[in-house]
Amino acid sequence: MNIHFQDFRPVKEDTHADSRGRLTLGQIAKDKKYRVLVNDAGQVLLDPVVSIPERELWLWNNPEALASVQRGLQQAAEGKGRYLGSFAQYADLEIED
Amino acid sequence: MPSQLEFQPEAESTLELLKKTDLKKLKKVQKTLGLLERNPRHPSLQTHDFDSLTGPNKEKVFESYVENNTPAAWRVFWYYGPGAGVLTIIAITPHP
Repeated sequence: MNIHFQDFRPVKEDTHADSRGRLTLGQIAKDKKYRVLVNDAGQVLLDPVVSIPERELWLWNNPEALASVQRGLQQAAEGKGRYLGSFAQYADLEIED
Repeated sequence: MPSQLEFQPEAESTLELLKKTDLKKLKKVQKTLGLLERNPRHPSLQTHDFDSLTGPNKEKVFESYVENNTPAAWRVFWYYGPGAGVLTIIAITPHP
């Protein structure tokens, strides 16, 4: 895990955990999931994590397929898509396996 | 209601590659795209959410199967939009 300490900035100057250790972090942490790490100085780091459903792991474990999907998403973000005509005529194709 | 398919260059290049290398697979992909155009929820597509991906504007991404009963079936990744009646085809890729 890479930790970029130089990029940290204060979000709250003084916040107090309650008797059960709960802190309210506000919008910056809304609906996010974290791994929680602590060091010898008592500093706590919240490392965002994303849960990937097991049935989707194949993509994340396959660099070529993942890169293809990510390129497609990037191209979509850049508005590079185009219409290639209708494919409806292929819907009834009989194909032998 | 039929949709219009908008292909990203990544997906288009896969179609072009299949035209040169695997006409049988190309036909299967074309059939899948035809079914997607007609009805993205056609049972043979086995369309389902792909929760670990989102579109550029937080669109829900879907995965549809090119082949049935094939362990290494090719997949089509897509989302609804941009705009009504349009599906964006992100990528067409083999499952390893």
